[in-house]
Amino acid sequence: MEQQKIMALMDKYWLAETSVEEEAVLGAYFRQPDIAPELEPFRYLFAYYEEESQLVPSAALEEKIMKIIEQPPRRLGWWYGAAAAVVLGIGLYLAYPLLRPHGEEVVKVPVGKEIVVAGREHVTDTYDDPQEALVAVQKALMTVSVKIDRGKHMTQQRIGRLNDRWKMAVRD
Amino acid sequence: MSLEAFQQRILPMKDKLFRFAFRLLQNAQEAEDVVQDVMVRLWVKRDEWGQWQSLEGYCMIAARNACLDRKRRPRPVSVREESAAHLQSNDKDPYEKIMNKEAGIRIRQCMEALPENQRLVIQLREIEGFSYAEISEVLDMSMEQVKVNLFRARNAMKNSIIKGEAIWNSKK
Repeated sequence: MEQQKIMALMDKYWLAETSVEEEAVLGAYFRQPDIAPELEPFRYLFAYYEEESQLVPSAALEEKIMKIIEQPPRRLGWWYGAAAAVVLGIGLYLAYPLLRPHGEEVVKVPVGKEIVVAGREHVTDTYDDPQEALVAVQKALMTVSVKIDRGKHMTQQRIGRLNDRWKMAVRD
Repeated sequence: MSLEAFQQRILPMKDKLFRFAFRLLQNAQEAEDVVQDVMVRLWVKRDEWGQWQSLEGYCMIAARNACLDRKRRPRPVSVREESAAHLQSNDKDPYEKIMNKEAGIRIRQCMEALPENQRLVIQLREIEGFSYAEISEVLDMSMEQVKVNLFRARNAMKNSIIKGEAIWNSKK
């Protein structure tokens, strides 16, 4: 009876109509020492599949994976601090003429002319109208801000690529 | 997700992933590299685990894609060592033992000569015990295509065994 059942399952098996459970029944059958002579050649097929299912990677693989995963994450905070300092510095430099304390002697001169104030410095005044100067400074700061953002984005991308390469180097 | 959860849920999948990658790449070192990359990537995305229907399915798909990427790059030609299969055999007759070795080699050669899709379907069904639905998801093919590939692969293996048996019997 069992022999008939097995032969019927084999017919289904070759038609790719067996279930996973039915294939497990066939696998168990072929592990027995005594099987139907006509099915004997297929013992090696099921034995091959069983052998292949026991293939495993080296023990070192798990160690390598855990070593990478247990690394503390890299901190990127200082990049943002540095970028913020650069923006602040440029902003102060550009806005300095507007932030000059009151009471300093300001000599109005024609646009583009150099002047000497109190023998200390040369000042080249490019705007006559403070409102126009303010608009120009705002435009300049906006340009700097866009460039800094772009630089920040490029830096983040490069850091990401560096991280990937570092991981590959650690793995190797 | 904790490290402990990773070790209990994810790390045990490495053997299955390795066998799958090895079937695709035929190179143990490259297969291990793929498994490592997939596992590390999964750790980085640990906050997303809850969104995926099947972690195993995700891992297998990621491994397949990683292997396909590697195959597109120029790679050194690797030759899988043809070792005698340790077949389950209770035969005492040395003549039969030689037959086992011949049968094992023939089956392995037949497997390696199958088209890639058929080979992968055999790997996932016969060796890993995946359902048609799971195979369909991992290999990105319809369930009907899975069945057709399995049908063709099984019958190719069957014909190879029958042919080998006929040759063997003619030598006796």
